[in-house]
Amino acid sequence: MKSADKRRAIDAEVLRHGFIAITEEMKINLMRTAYNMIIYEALDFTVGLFDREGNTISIGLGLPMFIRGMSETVKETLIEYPHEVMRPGDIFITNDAYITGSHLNHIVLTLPLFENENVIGFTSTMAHWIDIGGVLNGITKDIFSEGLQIPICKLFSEGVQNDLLVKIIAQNVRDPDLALGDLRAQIAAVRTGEKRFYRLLKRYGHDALTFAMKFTMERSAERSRAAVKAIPDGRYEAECYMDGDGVVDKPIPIHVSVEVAGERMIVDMSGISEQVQGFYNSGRTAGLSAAQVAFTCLVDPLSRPINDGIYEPLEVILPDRTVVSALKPAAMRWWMTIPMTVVDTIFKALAPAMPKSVPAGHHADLAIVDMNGTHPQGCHFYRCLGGLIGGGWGAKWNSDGMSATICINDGDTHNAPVESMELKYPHIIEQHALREDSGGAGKFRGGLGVIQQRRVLADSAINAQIERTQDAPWGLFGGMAGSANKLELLRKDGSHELYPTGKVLDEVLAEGDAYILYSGGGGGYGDPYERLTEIVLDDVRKGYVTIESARQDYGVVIDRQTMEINLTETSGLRQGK
Amino acid sequence: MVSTGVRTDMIRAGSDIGGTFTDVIVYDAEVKSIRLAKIPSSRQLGQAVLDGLALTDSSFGSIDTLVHGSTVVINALLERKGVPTALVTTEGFRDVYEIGRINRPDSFNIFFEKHTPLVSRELRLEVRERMLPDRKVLDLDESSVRQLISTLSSVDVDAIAILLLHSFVNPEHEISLKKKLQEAFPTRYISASHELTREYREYERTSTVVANAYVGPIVDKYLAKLEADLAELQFSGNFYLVQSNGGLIGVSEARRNCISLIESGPASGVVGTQEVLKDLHIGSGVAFDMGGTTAKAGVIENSEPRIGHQYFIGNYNTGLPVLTPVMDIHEVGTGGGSIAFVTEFGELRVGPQSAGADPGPACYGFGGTKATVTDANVVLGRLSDKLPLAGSLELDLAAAKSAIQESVARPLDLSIEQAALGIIQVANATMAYSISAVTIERGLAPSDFVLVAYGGAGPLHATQLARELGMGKVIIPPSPGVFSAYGMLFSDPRAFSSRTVITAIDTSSLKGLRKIIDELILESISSIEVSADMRYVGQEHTVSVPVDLDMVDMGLASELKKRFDEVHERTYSHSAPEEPAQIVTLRVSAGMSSDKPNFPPIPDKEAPGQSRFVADVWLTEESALPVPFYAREDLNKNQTLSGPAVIFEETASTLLLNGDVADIHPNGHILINLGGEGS
Repeated sequence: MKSADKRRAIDAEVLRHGFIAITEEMKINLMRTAYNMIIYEALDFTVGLFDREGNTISIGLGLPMFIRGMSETVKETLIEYPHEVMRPGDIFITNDAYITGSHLNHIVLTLPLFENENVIGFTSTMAHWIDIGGVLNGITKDIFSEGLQIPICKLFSEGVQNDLLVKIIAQNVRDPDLALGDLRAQIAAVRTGEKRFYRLLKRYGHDALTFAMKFTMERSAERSRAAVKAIPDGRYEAECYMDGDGVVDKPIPIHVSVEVAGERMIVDMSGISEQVQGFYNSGRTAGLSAAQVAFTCLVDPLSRPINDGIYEPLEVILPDRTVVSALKPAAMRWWMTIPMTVVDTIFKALAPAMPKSVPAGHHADLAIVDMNGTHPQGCHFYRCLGGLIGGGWGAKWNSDGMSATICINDGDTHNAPVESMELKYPHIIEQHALREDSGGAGKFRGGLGVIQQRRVLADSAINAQIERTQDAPWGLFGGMAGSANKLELLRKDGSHELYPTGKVLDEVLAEGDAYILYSGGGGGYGDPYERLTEIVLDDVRKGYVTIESARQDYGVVIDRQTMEINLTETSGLRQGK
Repeated sequence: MVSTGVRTDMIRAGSDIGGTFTDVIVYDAEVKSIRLAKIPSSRQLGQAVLDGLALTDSSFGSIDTLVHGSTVVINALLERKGVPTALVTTEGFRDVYEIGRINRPDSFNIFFEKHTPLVSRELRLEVRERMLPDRKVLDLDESSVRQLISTLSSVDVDAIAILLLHSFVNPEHEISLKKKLQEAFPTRYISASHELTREYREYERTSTVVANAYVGPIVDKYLAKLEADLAELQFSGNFYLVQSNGGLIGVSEARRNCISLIESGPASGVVGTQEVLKDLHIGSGVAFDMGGTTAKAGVIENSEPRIGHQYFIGNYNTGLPVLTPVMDIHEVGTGGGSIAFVTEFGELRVGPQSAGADPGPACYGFGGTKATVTDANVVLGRLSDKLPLAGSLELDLAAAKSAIQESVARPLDLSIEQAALGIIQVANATMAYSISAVTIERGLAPSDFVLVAYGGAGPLHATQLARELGMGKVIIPPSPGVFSAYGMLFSDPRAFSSRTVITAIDTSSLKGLRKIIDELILESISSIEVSADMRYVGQEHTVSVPVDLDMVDMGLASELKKRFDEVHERTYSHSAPEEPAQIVTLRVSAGMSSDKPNFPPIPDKEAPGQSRFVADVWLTEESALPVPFYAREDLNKNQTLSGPAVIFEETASTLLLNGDVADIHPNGHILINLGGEGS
């Protein structure tokens, strides 16, 4: 580095805080003003600051799996609207599923930033609208049944709103007030980022800003290279399978191979299933995101801002037409499920290479039960995302897995309080509890899943796309699998209906019927017989593990009356192993 | 204690117990003087106050009002030294406390940790009953209560927390269950959620009531000891505790609502700032407190501090939430002791690791070798090695230079002074973030605010921070190093009450609210402020809007809506006047004003104070300039100083940059108008 640049390392550090502050402020602004619960509770959105070419400088999460969506959208926008035709006051909009890699509910707004007449960067936000039209219940088999498609176009042209476009949107969604409220919040978010960026630009100037962007990305790249270099070279593979696509009753194989060679890591996704008929497809952007999310978790989880320099040593091989690189007109509505299992499978592949960095498998599903109906009070249409209950995470080399936590697709996502749900919907939640015995046994135990039982007080449509009900969250190094996700319906007359692949399509829950949703537990790590007996006893006393499981899985015999360990029988079991 | 009118305290004392020192401050209304003393915290409170008073020539029996700020609640919670506690919830929901909100704030950290409950699962019990927001579904089941009592008899707990669903609307079952448990267990501390908060969200209410029960018996004991000590010392005045919102409460209320004491220290600083601004007839300001390990910022808007309603014990990622009114304060891990270093990839970082008090910054000469923000200030001559720190600590310039040289200058190939300036710049950038978090992120423009800086390091950084944020004016109050104790002199008894109501805004609903407001007022005292948390129908998050009782009485729905639209526009830079809005939570805050001290005028001097000495100070990286150093005690009222200059006192130093003009206010405040690019 030149000596003048060394001095500018100080400005770069000051500006690094500035970049983070810009996206933080955009995030807070959007979160606090959005209308729909998916944005304000589930944080199903991301905001970002990008350089002139659309490379990520800073992302305010939101969802980890959104890591590529905005950047790829900015790059596509530049193909249709090159720098020289962009004008101050323009805001671009799109929900093209094959650009964002996800479903049509994701609306992306992009605002170009200028110095004089030159584009020098972008602010952008991608957020989930609760409804974008299309078929309401059941499964879709192509994109056209999933709602309104907005190609990349100008929502604002030099500050003037495209009213026709807004009218078309309002005409095509079920709740225009909600949609336009979220649109306003997104407009405010990209403009907030714009305002803050111009303040930094005025204060530090274009050169210092450009230098700081470059400096931030280069340092991230160096950090990643050093971390990859520390991983033993080799080719590592793993596979697992998804339950099915909801149309054809057959599992969907997920196979990944990771090659580490010096400072480079190559993730090869050629072994992932072809695109499917049902709506579980996602686009190339989502496939790339899955590789980048796994890479970030293993290589540089805590540095901020999240920027594209981090991925410099990462190469992804991803042919077209896989289930995570689907082509039009593949159905995409439930895009998010498969990529998160891809992330977990990459962890699984790398377990032999980095045993202290990867956890055992997690429940890997949002566990959403989608309901809609007419509210008896007020007689209005409502749509409610039930579920979203979190689940168990895998154990690690030195600690138990966490219980009841949102899956890897999401981040600072909150569940909805029971009291809030019961205020809004004609439902009563009868149980919201940890799922005992669901954590995979191991020297370190997997985290517990959650049980939610919800009864409807008025007829309601129910759709559920619970996945990974068959291939349970795996254990590592002798640890056992956790319990898989599961859904059953409980009719008013007391009868149970179990859904073996977790897919409930356009069923009706009549008044008095209920669903019981079980999220999976995390996999265990290491031989369960190596778990300290007193820790097993403590788990039993607390009810995380039953006496039966203690004996069967851990070889620890506990007397039901005294709740003490039977030492003789325990050592017999453990030695006789 | 319900009384109105104005009390006249002749002597008012405040005591702020910190980790190392107890600050005692006494105001004598007769002679209008303020006296301060610092006593090691190791002594018991009564004795510390007595000793402090002796140092200030006052007698203990003459104190009319004693105000006490304590860290007993937060320490017991952070160190997990509360009592064994049981939790009782609605059947089916005992795990809500462990499940929490399922979020992972550090999205990419697969080694994340969640909050750890204060009550382990075997002590989380359930009872059969059920409410919905609008009706009772299941009565409190008698046999289930008997079973519960039998289980509780067999476990060793000193406190019991109760959380039943929807008790924020209808607390009937909580009230009746608490009564039954009190009869069964008269010596156990029992707390029910509706007594502490009436807002929806069962996890946060559970966490609040458990935290309260967990510290209840400890606070009980602490207060009983204090009262006994005070009685023994013939104290017969009013005794108050400082709540996290800056208001005072009496001992019996503090015993019931212990959790309201969780953040009393920082709150007092904001109350002090509020009074400084009143004394200067300024409406809005930022309270900025920079100490050794952290910097904190709070906001006074139109003479009122901004209050938040949720607090996390420790931090957001793993902290347990508490629903209680707390000063809206944002904290960053940057202070005088923050360590500067260069990463292996050539990046400069400052903090959040701190050198603490031992070994402390290298310049303390206790063997510290890491470069800190304080060392950078010493190297730049802004803290002069000619002046002992806090009156007694000689600064070691050579050690500071060597630390900066080794940790930052050499790895980055910079001169020592360039490196020191860089450290200060980065520290200022992170601290500016704490101020923007409480202003810009709340829709407020920092340029509309003055910066009131205190804490040991605040005055030294204030003029730079204000420039960073485009603020034009800085105020350094008297005794900035012990300002939190100072703030206690100004606190008034204050009660907050709130109720989640979820109401449309139309004339008849609005008129219906009056009954609830009256109930809330009865729960409080006098000098009423009413506000409503409002949102557009369909939104989740709310903004707080002040409500005039006239609006309610006359059903002026459109005026209230208009006011909400304005607040929303200001906060989030957009609004939707055509969209319907609703009220979610009503809040009433009631205060009692008392005769408080003014800031006493500083003594007249015959002539303006002259500088004590001139020393070289680095303000830019090119060269050092000779800068005059003034002792604050020498300065005369209305005297004007131009920057660059340093004004030093025992507990802090104030830096004036080129173009800054400082006026010495007759009551001792230093008012600085920023020059050059700052204005």
